[in-house]
Amino acid sequence: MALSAPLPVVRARRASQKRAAARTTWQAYALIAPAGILYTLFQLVPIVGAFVLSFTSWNGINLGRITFTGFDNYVRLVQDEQFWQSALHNVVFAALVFVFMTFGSFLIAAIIHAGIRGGAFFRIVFFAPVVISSVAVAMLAIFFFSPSQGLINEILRTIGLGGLAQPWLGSNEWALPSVAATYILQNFGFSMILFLSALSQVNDEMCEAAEVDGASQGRILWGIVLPSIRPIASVVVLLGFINSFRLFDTVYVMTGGGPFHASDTIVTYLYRTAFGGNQVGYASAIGVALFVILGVIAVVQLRLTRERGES
Amino acid sequence: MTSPIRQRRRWARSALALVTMGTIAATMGACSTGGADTSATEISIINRWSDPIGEAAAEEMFAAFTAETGITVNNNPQPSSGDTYQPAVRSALSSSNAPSIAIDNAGPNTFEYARSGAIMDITDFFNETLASRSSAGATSGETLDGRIYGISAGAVVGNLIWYNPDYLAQFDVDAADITTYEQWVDAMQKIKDAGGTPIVLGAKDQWPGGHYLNDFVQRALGSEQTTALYNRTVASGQPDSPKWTDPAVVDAFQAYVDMKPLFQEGFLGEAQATADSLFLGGEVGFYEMGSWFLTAIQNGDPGFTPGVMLFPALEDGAGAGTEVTLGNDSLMVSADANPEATQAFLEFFTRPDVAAKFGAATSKIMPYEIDQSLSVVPDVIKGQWDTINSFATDSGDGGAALFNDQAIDVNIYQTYIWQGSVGLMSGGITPEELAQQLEDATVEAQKANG
Repeated sequence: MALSAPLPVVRARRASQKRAAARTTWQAYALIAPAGILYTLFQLVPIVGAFVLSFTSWNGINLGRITFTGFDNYVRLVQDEQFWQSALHNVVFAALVFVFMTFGSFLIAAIIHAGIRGGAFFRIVFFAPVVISSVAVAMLAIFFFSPSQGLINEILRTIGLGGLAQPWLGSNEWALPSVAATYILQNFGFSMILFLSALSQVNDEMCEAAEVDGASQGRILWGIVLPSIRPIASVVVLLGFINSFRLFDTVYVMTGGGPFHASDTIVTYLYRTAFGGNQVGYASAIGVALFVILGVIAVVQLRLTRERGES
Repeated sequence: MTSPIRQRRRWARSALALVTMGTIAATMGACSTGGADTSATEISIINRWSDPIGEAAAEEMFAAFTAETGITVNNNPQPSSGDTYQPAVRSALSSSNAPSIAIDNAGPNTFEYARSGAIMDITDFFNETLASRSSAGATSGETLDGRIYGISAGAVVGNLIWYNPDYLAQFDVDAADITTYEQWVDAMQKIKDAGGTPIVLGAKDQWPGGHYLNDFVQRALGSEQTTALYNRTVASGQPDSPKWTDPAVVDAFQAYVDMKPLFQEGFLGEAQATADSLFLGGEVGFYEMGSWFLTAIQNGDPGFTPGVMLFPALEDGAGAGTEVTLGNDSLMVSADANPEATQAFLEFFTRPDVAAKFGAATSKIMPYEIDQSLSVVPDVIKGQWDTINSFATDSGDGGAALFNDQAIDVNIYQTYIWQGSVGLMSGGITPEELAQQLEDATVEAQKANG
């Protein structure tokens, strides 16, 4: 018997370990199989399908009448002013969300975290709209913004500022900000809760020590608080950007992209192209473009976060 | 002998495998083809009779059909909004489990389904069984290349002006004196000058503004030329005239823009539902809305009796003041449906007693022979119902055109007519620019249509 050969006991143990590992692997696959199948069928297949459809012309009714058009849809996309105008609206929307929702929710979270009276009440008040259907909120907002019967114009008139009353959702200038305000007010609470959670993780002792050492509040915020909450802040910013580009329901219900495309976003344009205009191939190309935009945002954001973390 | 632990593990694995297989089976089942409608005893129907009045009338009709034939009806009413209803029908008809019958706008929608092979050619059945009891509108917007792909599920008149006689009286305006557009504008200006609200519009929802573009173009060109203009966007082999850029069409768009000062303050941001309530609340003189507004009157029970007239004629327009715009819902049979069961339904639906009852209940004009004794509408809308029916009857041969959103290519009317109607009012686009964009899009569509 060669010295290098393992003893029978060792061989048996290794075989047993292999069997156990195989069993564990099989069980793991079995456990993830249902989710995997559903994910494949309802996520991956449609994504691949949309990518394939983006190279075709199809009216969405009969697959037998589909025609391959190569890169025609993408050429059209590049030249489509309405697409770029819609994309610009998404950028404006993302900027509004970034400024008002990210900073605003951090500010409110900081105030609540500071221990003001009724903190729990404000948490509920700000978070409550998050759990309401965005369609319901948008429907409600339509009544608020109604020029003749809406609360906003009524308040303006009551306080003597009737000159500022607007046809909010029918105004080229105000339609998009009105939709953004509705979206921000509805989703503000979610970011606030995330920031509250992050602020609770900040090391109080370190802050107190800094204070004792004479650091200003601004210096403490910049040097201790912000680095501590950076991972959560990154998530809030990333979600804000991604959701701003995926925006559909609030815009669709409130303005339908109007007036005259003044509040169109990429997804409302995509929807109207696919389901209003029967141009599923071109709409798929818009969808692929959106997928790429979101991918780039996510990668850039994650890379920036990682670099800052490493530095 | 197997240890209890191993036994339990074996059971757990078996259970896990069963759950996995069950999930796969359920998923595959959910995604599998439902197959054609092979049951002779059940038909399914996707429709827009989803308002309380329409749904109740439909359910009553389906129950009577089942009682007579033994064929049950799987009713699938969907919200009637144009933005959501048409995609719902398209998804349903393109699925592997298509409904037996679908109801959607006549015109380009129906043609698209016909060209795609999603609906059945019912020409022979119609000619043999239904033609003798049908009037001209029964297949309007449902005939493509001489073949019939649907029948009317009820028509509506679109170019109506509703008015509040009590409100008008406050300003010494009598709608009976108005026969031309110019007189109508004068009357509205009189109301405006006296501090009243002449007319209300829910422009935010886009399609109400599209109505005005339709009304003005029809009055400017006349029904025949309007139909020719609209047909250029969908049908092959059409003449190049009239064009959207013709002065008469541009002037028609401009006439709509000129109405801007007459609408209520903030009309651009107002929803159609709010405009409905403003009119029914008695706060305004006039309101442009189709005959389906009868249902809103029934539900709203306003404190006055609304009057109704056709959109007035333009003094220098080619269209007569008696010409009507028709909207026609098309009842289409899915290509995979059971022919016998669906034909039994079509025969039942167009029967004089059924058509009379259903038409009256849903305020729809049924283009079939109807049993007048059964055509009973509630007193609250009876006067207006009779008036609207007389409009349709008196319009005469060639005196009707399909609505622009039922006659124009679906992408063109959504992009240029609906959105454009708002753009004209918001200053986003001029009448000349809109006309040019429509013409360019029409030329592109003509190329695509061969």
